[in-house]
This record gives sequence, structure tokens and C-alpha cells, in this order.
Amino acid sequence: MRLTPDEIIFWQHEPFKLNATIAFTWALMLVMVVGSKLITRRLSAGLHRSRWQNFLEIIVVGIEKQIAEVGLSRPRQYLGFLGTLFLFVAFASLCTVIPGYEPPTGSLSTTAALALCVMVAVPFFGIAEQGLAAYFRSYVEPTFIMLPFNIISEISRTLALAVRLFGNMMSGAMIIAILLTITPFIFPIVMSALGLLTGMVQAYIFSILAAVYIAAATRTREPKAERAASP
Amino acid sequence: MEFVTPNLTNLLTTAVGFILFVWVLAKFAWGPILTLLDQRRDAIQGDYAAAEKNLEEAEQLRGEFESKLHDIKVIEREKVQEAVKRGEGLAASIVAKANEDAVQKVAKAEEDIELETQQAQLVLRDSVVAMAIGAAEKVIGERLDDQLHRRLIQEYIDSIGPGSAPHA
Repeated sequence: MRLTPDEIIFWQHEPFKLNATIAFTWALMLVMVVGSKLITRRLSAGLHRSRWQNFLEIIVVGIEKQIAEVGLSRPRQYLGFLGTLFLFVAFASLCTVIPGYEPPTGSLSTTAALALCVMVAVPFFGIAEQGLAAYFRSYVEPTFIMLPFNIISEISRTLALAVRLFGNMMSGAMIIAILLTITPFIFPIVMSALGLLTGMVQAYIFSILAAVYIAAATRTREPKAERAASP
Repeated sequence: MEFVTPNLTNLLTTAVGFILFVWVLAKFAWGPILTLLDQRRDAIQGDYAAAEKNLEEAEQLRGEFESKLHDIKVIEREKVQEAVKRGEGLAASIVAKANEDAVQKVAKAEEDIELETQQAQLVLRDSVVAMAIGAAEKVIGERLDDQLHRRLIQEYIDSIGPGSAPHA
């Protein structure tokens, strides 16, 4: 039984190795890029819109609203990153209905890569919002003793992000694989449907946590400013 | 436990690929969709503002029409009052003319009555004179000079006055 798509090797030429994780990751990205290009090619600003456009607008507006609800005052600034993150993880889970497909999010390499992107994005947006000095000053607040703890916090939450998504996706795939060997009919279908739901929930959790981390990084100085403003 | 150890090559490749992916989607998907949503939002806001403006204009027109309607009612009331006044004046003049006519007719009638009375008095006087002559002739038995007789009777009648004529 395969535990991760890393074990499926499509092509190998030392030192290069093309496994299922990389292949499906890039395939998903390619499909999403081509799909978005096709959908956005015939966008209409009028009253008559295609179903695809309506669907796309619902998704975009929904993500924007979610980001705003997390507490980010300018959700559009983060929509590109957080929206893409959500759509990628969700699409990777949805494609599990395709026979032969292995979700790349079932590989720790992919989830760690996504978590690494979040880890880079958090200070990126924090510095963009507050400035370099103000952002790094937040690491030594309220005292400089907090610096190692804040650094550990940054690393641990990145690890938690990666492992949470990987664990959920891998466990789902494992449960389905085990059930297939025990009861090959009907029950694995139910579990696959449940796996789709779990995948969507994980995509939502991953994106919302990323939004929360970004919100925390961009609002570090706000309480002080509020205190100064209050009489 | 190899599956819980991330492959560094895979990790870096995916990370770089994902960053590129974010950039490409931002350029080809999020950008156009957000622009479109902005355009639609602006269009809806424009329509809403136009509707608000039209409503405002309609309210203004309504105010003007109500003001004009009020003016028309005032003018109508003034004209009715004027017509009533004119009618009252006309009625007064008709009544005055009728009164004048009536007074004139009464005066004329009184004048006619006076003339008739005078004529009747003359006729009566002549009759009285004639009867008196006849009676005197029978009493004295001789014929008096008619001219003298008449003069005497006339003097008598004149002495007793015109008001006593019917009694004579």
C-alpha cells in the first residue's frame, strides 16, 4: 500500500526524478491556469452571464468575504494568495474522483511547500503593511525575551499547517485504500464522498489559518495605536 | 517513515511552482474578475445614483405641480368670488331699477288718479249745478236767467270748497 504519491515514479533520470506529487501538482496548476484563462476570456459585465462566470463570481466574492471576516481590512490585497491557496487545495481534493489520480496534498512535500509559502507570505504582507522595522519590532514585544518564542511560534505553526493538511489528506486516502481491500463495494464510495467533504474543509481551514496569520502580522501595531488614540 | 520526511527537491519545486502559480492566476484570473466586479459595482452604483436623481427630479416636479395646482385653486376661488360679486352687483342694479320703475309707476298712477279725480269733480260739479238749477226752478216757479243762475250756484259751490262737492 502506498502512503504518499511520492512513491509513484513516472520518470527517472538521476539525479532528476518525476514522481506523482510533482506531476499532479503541475498538472493541477496547468489545468487551473488554462481553465481560468478560458473562463475569464468571455467575461461579461452586463446582465447576461454564463453559468461558469456566475459560479466563478460566487467563489471570488465568497473568498473575499471570508478574508474580510477574518479581519483583514483590504481583502483584495490578499485575495490572490489566499484565494489561490484555497482553490488549489480544494481542487486537489475534488480531483480524487478521477481514477488513477493521487492528491498531491497527500505528500508532506506539497503541504510543507504550501506552508512554506504561507511562512514567507506572512512577513511579506506584514512588512508591506507596517514597514520593516515595525514588523520585526513585533517579535520583541512586549519584551525582547519573547523573541525566541515568537520565532518558535512562526516555525511551529508552519509545521502545524503542513502536517495538519498532510495528515488529513493522507489518512483519508489510507482509509479508502484499507476499505477497498475489506469491502470493495459501496462503502468506499461513501468514504470517498466523505473524503471530498474533508478535503474541502481542510482547504477552508488551511486558507483561513493563513489569513489569520497574515491578519495577525498586519495588525500587530494596531492595539498600541488604539490605546494612544483613546483618552 | 520516509513518507513523513519531505523531499527537499519536491518541496522547493512545489513552492516555487506555487508562487509562479499565484502570480499567473493573479494576472489571468483574479485581476480580470475583480476588475469586472468593480465595473459591475460601479455600474450598479451609477444606476442607483441615476435612479436616486430621477426620484429627486420626480419629487421636485411633484412639488412644482402641487404648487401650480394650489395656484390654480386660488385663481379659481378668486374668479368664483369675483363672479359672485359681479352677480350680486347685477342683482342689486336690477332691484334698484325695478324699485325706480315701481316708484315711477306709482307716481304716474297717483298722477292719473289725481287727473281722474279732478275730471270727476268737474263732471260732478256740472251735474250738481244742473240739478240745483232744476230744483230752484221748481221751488221759485220762475225761470231765472240761466247765466245769472249758474254764476250764483258757482259762487256757492266755490264758497263751500272742492272737498264738499260730493256732499252737495
